[in-house]
Amino acid sequence: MLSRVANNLYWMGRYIERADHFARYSKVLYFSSLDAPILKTYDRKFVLESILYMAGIFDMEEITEKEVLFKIGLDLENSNSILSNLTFARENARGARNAISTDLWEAINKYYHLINNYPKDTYLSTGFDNFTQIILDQTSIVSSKIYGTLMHDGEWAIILIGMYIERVIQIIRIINSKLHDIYKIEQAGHPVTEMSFEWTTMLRSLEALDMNRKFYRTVPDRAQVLEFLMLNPHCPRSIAYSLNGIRRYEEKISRNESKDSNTISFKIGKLFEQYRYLSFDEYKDDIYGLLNSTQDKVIEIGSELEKKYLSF
Amino acid sequence: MKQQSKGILDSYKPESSHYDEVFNESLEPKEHYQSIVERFNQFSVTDFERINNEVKTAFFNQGITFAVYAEDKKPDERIFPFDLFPRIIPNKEWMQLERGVIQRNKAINLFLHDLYHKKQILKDKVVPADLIFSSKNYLKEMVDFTPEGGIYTHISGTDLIKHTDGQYYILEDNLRCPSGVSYVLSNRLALKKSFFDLFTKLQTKTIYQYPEQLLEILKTVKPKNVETPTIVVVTPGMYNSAYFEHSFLAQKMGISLVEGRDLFVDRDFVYMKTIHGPKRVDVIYRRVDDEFIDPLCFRKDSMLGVPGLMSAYRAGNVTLANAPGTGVADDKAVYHYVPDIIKYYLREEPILNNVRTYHCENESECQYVLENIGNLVVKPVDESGGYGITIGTTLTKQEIEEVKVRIKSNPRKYIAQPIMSLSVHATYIEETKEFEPRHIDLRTFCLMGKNVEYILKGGLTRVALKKGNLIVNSSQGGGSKDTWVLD
Amino acid sequence: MEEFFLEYFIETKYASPVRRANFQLLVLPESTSTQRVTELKLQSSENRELHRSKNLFGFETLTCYMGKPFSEFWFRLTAKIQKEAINPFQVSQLSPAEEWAFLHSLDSQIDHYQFLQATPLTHMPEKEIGIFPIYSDKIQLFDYLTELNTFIFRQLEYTPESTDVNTPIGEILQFKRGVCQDYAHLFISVCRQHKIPARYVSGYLNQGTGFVGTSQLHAWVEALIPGLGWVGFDSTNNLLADHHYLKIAHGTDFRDCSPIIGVLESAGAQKSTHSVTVTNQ
Repeated sequence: MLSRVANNLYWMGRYIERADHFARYSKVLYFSSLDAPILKTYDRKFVLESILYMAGIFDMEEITEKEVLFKIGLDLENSNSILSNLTFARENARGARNAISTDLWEAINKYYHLINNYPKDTYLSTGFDNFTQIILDQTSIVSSKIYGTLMHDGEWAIILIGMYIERVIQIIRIINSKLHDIYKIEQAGHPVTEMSFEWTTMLRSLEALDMNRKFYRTVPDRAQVLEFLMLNPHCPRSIAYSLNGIRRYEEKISRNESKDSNTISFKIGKLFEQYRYLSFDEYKDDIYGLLNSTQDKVIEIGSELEKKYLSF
Repeated sequence: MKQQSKGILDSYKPESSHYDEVFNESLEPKEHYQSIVERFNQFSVTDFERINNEVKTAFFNQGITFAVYAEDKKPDERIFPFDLFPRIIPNKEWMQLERGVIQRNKAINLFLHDLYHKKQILKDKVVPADLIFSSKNYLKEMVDFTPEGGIYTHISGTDLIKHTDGQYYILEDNLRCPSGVSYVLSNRLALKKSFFDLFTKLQTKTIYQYPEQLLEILKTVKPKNVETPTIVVVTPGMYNSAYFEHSFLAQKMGISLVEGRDLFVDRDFVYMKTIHGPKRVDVIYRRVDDEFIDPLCFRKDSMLGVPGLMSAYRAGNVTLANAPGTGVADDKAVYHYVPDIIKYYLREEPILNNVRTYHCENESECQYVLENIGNLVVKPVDESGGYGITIGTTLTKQEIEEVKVRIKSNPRKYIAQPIMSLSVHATYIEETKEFEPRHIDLRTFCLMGKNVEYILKGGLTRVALKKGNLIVNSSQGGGSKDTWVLD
Repeated sequence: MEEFFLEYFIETKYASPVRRANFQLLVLPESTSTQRVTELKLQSSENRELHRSKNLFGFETLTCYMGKPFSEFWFRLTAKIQKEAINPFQVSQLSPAEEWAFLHSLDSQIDHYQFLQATPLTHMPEKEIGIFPIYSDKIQLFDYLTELNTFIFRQLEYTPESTDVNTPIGEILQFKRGVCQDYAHLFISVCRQHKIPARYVSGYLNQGTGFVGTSQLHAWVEALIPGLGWVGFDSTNNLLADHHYLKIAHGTDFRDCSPIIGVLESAGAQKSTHSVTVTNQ
């Protein structure tokens, strides 16, 4: 496999995954204010701020609903908007056009055109739910083409490494954003006991509410949710699960090279094992610390992968 | 046979001044078009519209598009216009074409070999030496070098038209990177889906073998001492207008699509950079122009090329298809001599006609051109894509004077031809929702390897969608049709 | 027979690291029956082994691919060369008219077309042609070329660094200054005007001679004399090329004979130094 093509595939995976998390978070948050129990604090501004926080946008002074929606959705000048992400995903797929199946290419191309041609006025007035739903649905189609129409070899593994690296980063962003929201609500004087709605929202924005309910069979609280989203090895949207994904697919391309402490395989393995044998009590007082150090390590792993395999 | 109800082709109005491919003077479909006209007439306009839109959407989703860039706007993506009504060539007529195209390309190959070795044809004064030596496409880097198997033009695209007299004429030879074959294959795929029943009824010659044949042809010219060659397609990159074709062909051949930056040359061998280190490359189907392929040798500022490639090529360690320096033979000024070239090397009469060509370089011919500009097509010899062409009948007095000045300032640069009347073909026009006559030409695709030739049965029928327009190039608003060779 | 000791050295330093590069050196003295390379040592930075390739005229180049970042590149060639004494003053057996007829034959013009075509570096502005000696079927070609050699020698003043490798002939004639390649390009240009095949030659010149152009690579011209073959003329020194001239390669003009060409992926500035030493005993 050409290094440049591997680079395209890796980033294609990352951008597709990123758009999916953006869309889901925004969708859940956008409509959450309608059900929020603490209505005074939980107004539209609060919701929009949370969406911007997750998107890493801190420079908007006056925020109107339409401006925020445009910026995160269709604004090509915002390199983090959903449309920008899809543009990049598709450009990367185009660059690796003959390394992927026609099915996968057409799925990505179609997905891009659906979003690129989505009428702006509809999007800004009544289309937000439909728009974000398209993204979630199309991501599923693309994922199924990745699993079902490619040889499960190097090319495939590179795409999945990109997707899982991005997923860890996005899970951490989502947890951070919701923790930030909760902090703001606490600051406004609301007791911790009223927070179950917030924990539910956190789970929903990772599509993990039903899984969580099935696993614990109680009303979500802080310990339970953070343990579930970070450590549960069977929840496909937990950090531990995603680290396992990175580990598994990296092995496919490293061809079982020696596990010296300076190899990428070693670093991935070490981080994976750390999560595997971690209990919530060990880090419950320093959630931010663990999240940040995990994010740093994953970003480092990503850049080492790029240096080793993807530079040309 | 008159149709009972009103068919979508009933309102068709032919133009008597041109050769109509589909209908004769009494508006009856010609024999080889009867089944399809019958079938088309069973469609209502609504049905036809729907099929047309489905095909367009499919092309769009497949990414068979090109981008139009405008300032301050996001690029507008469009599909290459495509017409559902196929152009049909009876097999007997086609066989003649096929023989003619192969004959022409064989002669051109011998011509190129001679030009880069003994130059006997120049010494025998069949082709003027100055014409060759003054061409910027005649590369000194190719002198005394013989490409593997003696093949220069592995892939060529000969363009033909049908004139009012019902005869085919060669319009030009494309010997560098002729494009369009991916549209032929995509068009056929679309038509097979839309008119499934017609294909089961008619004996249309298949074309799906093209990529396999291309791969086989490339294998025949692998460097010596290579058992199983690694073959790649080199593209200038995804912003090139033909990128779809490059990736399409690589995909269909099951080989890597690489850019210049993916390759490097070390010790006269070419390698591609893979995630597990360098991998040797033996045969390159390159879709990058001569002057950009090697910055050590040609244009130093080229970002698309591979430094050292020509040296590796001359060392016999890699094959380039097509060979560099083939452009000297598809120069529009050389075109005029091709019938003589065929006679010279093959001792055969040319099977296909050339259009009469006037060389402005020649004083008396130049004089004729200057006096008759109003009735001639004037073309610069070194432009492609239809650029710089003027058609006498469409010029104002002032424009005629401007063309004259241009010719006088550099006569070598221009040739002129009588205005050939391209045949017309019923074509669906979206604005009027009706079939109207539009001018067409035909690009054929011919492959040559060591002791083997292949010609695609059919080719790309290009259609000038603007009414009355004679220029069919896609860069000038042309579309395409599927082309069927029928038994 | 004479023996020469030769050293060629080039060093380039880069302000910021070069990511990747391909170099091509055209500095090896050619091996012929009258010029033999008896000892040869090639050294370069990081002990890179240089690959011998053939250029378009069949001359040996040294190529080198640098796939890892580097900040300097140097190369040293040392060689011992044996050179047969040759007498450049040979008399053609052909009459002036025969020579003329040969040069004006279509076959000659086709066989030597490369050395008859004007290139950007050898293109003579029309208004300048008149000042040069005129060739005709009344004079022996050798005599004409000798006259032209002297004429060009007097036409220009040798001035180091007055021109660069891309200076066109019009400019050289305007300022009447130049270095060896300008003399050569001028000579070639006049020859080609008269349908006399002429090629650019790069090489080394023995420094013991006290001639101009010995501290760098030198350039001269070979012109085709029917019946005699290619004869070397050095207008820079108003001499015929004899055994003091160690040829590397020839081509249509300087661009075919650049001693070093590099294609680099780098952003920064670079600074090169190079030196040539040629001695006999």
